[in-house]
Amino acid sequence: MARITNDRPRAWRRVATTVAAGAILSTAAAVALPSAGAAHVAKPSQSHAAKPVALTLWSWDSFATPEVKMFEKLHPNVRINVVNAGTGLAEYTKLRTAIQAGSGVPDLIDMEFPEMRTFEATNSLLDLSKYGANAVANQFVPWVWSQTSANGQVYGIPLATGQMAMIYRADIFKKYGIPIPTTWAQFATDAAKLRTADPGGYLTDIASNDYNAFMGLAEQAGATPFIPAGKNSWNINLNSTAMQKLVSYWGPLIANKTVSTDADFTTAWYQGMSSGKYATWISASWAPSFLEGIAKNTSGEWRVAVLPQWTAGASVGGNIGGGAYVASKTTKYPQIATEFLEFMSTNPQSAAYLALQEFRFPTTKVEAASPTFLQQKVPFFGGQEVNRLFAKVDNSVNKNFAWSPFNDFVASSFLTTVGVAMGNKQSNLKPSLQAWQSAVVSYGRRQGFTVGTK
Amino acid sequence: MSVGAQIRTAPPSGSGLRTARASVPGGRRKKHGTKGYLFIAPFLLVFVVLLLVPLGYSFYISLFRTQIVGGTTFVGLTNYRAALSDTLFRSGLARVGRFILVQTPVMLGFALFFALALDSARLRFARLIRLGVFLPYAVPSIVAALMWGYLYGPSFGPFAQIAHDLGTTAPGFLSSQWMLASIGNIVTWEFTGYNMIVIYAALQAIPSELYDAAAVDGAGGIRTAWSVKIPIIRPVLQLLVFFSLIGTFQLFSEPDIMAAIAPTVIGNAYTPNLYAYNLIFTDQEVNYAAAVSFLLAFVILVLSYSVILLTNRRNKRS
Repeated sequence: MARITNDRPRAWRRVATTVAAGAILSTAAAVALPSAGAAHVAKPSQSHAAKPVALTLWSWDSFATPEVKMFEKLHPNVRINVVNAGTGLAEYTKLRTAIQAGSGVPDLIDMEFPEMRTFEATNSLLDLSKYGANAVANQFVPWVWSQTSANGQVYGIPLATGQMAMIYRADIFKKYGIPIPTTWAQFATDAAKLRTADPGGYLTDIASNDYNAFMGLAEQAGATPFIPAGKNSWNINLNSTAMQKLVSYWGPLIANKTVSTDADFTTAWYQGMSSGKYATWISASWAPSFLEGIAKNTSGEWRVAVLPQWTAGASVGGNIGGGAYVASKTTKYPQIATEFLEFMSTNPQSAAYLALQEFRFPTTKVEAASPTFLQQKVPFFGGQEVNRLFAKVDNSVNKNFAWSPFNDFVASSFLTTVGVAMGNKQSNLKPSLQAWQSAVVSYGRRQGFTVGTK
Repeated sequence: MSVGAQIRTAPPSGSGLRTARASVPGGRRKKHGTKGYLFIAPFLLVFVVLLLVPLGYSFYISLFRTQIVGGTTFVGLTNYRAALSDTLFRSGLARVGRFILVQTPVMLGFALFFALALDSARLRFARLIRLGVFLPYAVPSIVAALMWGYLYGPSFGPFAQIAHDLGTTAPGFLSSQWMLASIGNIVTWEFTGYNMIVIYAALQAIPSELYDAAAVDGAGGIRTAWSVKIPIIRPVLQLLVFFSLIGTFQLFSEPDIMAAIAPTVIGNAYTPNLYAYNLIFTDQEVNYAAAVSFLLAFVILVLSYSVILLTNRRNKRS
């Protein structure tokens, strides 16, 4: 059953795919090139098998994207059927149901980084390392590759990242003479200043429902709440010093209504974005093009800056969302599936298309450093080279940050503990952090994991 | 279910209906052949396949525990014990309990009022009013909730805008203080019409001799309504209370839609049904969800039965 609430906060993590109109890459050119993605695969390629095969890809978009077409051109016997299976939680719910039922499981799946451990835990993902995926490892930005692999096993090929930055309204900062904050301390001062200057506006909205955004901030604050400690064994600490530092900072700002706690990705929030209610959006590399879609009227006023830092002069980043294409354990064509996944991110044409036309922030070193990509000037951001800034913060993301093996529960219990406390404008958020930790730990143990709480 | 069928299945305790029942000859029970079962076979098949089997299956799975690590084990009634002490489940139950205590009387009050007004034949545009009050029932509850969700909007909703133009602020309909009342309003809007039609149909069935007698006794319109009409249709009202009780305990669509616009207010366990749903689809706790559902069904059963018992006793006394 498709659930309406699936449009809930977690929904938008990446950019909406733009229409294939920008067919700058003629398919003819793609055909002429050798199959770069498949070349390094040691085993003989199944995709040149005489018998035609069809794979199903569950995507967040419904149309066969040009990169899929490129792959099909190079592999005439392979058909990739793209199915729109919904966005975010809607897709994961469907996937879980299909896995439970043992039928209708797609071969290839669009999946966010935070969700991958969850499906690994239920043993539902194909270990691509058995089909040569480690051969492409060194082509990827290290922290990005670590999101989809562990201990030599590879569970997906990264497709897009979500390194964080502060997206802000330059005009509002200028109007009220507020300096662009480079530290969180300054951010708090600025927030109070803006409130006095403009009673209808807030420096930012710290969404009470957005687990992913909260975790991005936690990551930057130095938290590593989930540490794998062997097979089915985890160290979980959502109540660490770093997490407490984070909530001690935001709690008073929330309680004094210096910042708002509106639920994000709701109609009211979209309206706030376009009406100038929020002067900044602490978000990620997928946000610029998303923002263009929801706040057209503010074009030219936005800029992107490095995240405010806990220590002046530091450069510590975080990540929100981002994702990979993964293959299901039950796919009949593991070799072709692996080739396809590698192709998407490592084939120069496909990677360029993803980056330049679909605005998915590149995951490979080559594409992330490509001059065409870096020099893209975005009119919505007053002609700023937005990609260059995001590329700069790409290396500041913590490589050791891991997600829990039951992400959906962690997210939903965030909502009922910390989220509720934030929504109720509580100054002291520490008890809610403790409640969240207890809920997650007892859930993990109930589900059979060995859970430590160091 | 047709309106007529509902009235006929009403407990035959009202004075007018009792006489009708009494005339049925008691006599020796006839021996039924197998032909009867043939007639109900289609229903029986659907009933068994789509109701009894799933019910049995969910009870069966409620006795197990499936872990992400470790697979499935038989745990007996452990899930039930856990649910009984689960604060999320209990607070959800308490919330719908509060909801019923306020919303059901309000809704049935409106329905009764409209039905009596229509039945009085004093309204000028009776058909139009009847249709108007009934129409919201034809709107799917998802659509209704979406629509009201927009109306309640704190920055773009019309209430907020009107209040803003008047230089004041509208109450935060979507805040935790107001949410239950806001949902109550949606449900009342949706179901008043349905209840009105049922009551109205019952009123239409009252023999006109009784009104003549009332008129001879010198009773006016209000007195007739209070002393003749309402006592006669009491079984119908009781039935509607009964239906509302069952329906409201299963409240799901409205809070589910509201969760999209006020996520932290609704959370994942606002009503017991929503809780069971989220247990299955986000928490992967199918077995526990089955136990929660069964407990919910049990609570509904007990409460419904108490309502029937209570009203029957009262009817006997009067």
